[in-house]
Amino acid sequence: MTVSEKIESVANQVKQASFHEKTRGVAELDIDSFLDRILTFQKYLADKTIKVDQISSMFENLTWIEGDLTENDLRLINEVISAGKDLRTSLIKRYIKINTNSLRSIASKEINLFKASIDNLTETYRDVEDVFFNLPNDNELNEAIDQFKLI
Amino acid sequence: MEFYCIPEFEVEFNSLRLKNNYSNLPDLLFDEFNSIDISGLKSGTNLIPGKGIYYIKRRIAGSSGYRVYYVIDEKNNKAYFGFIHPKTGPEGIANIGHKFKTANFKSIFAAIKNGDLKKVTFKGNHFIIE
Repeated sequence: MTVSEKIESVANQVKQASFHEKTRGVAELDIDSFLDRILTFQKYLADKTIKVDQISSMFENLTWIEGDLTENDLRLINEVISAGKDLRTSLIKRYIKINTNSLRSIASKEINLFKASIDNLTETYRDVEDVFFNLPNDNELNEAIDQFKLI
Repeated sequence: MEFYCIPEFEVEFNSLRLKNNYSNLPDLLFDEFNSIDISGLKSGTNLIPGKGIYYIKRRIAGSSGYRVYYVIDEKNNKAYFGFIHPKTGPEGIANIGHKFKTANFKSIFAAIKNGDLKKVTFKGNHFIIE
């Protein structure tokens, strides 16, 4: 896989997750039908948390891609970040919907872990934004790196 | 593998470990870094890729645990801890911005240059700053 193909693959997966959250995700979460199915709801949330954590790992892995990045690669990374922000918005809406006293009474731990995974996603895409767009343009950092190499 | 930390890290570490919410910190850091090698240290977010220097942000104890920042000196088999913060609890911080990340890197560089470092060791299941 080339650098561009790797980034494109992440972009597609994040966009797919965001689309899924906006469309099929709503149908999956029919609260009334599973209030009496506690285990199903807990598993639903646990699975969703795992998926969000996987997306966060993909963001993190972008920072380990070897090789020089072209302008097109950076454009793709910017698209991944935008898709991550879009996904976060959908997930927060989902969290607000499920963060009720009645659902907390049956799945408090799972709801907290789900929220932590959303926070982690937010943190990782912001870090990726720093790594590829903010830090490379920071003259103070670049000077420090150059001096560090001389030690 | 030799570990060191800068004064800012020591202050933060000592402040956190004395608080009930974070008293597990020395044990968690021991578990994470005792017996680790260079390749194991290269995990987390690579903050300055392609520069020949590894400045890493690493997650400790999961999403709601801690974040540790360090620089790896691959040539001399050394690592330098620069900053740590919890994600949750009374001292919890969601994230640090890019200006702070730069300031931390500069602090690590200055501490190495000036020899203003503390040795970190791993004894009796604890992460100890000597």
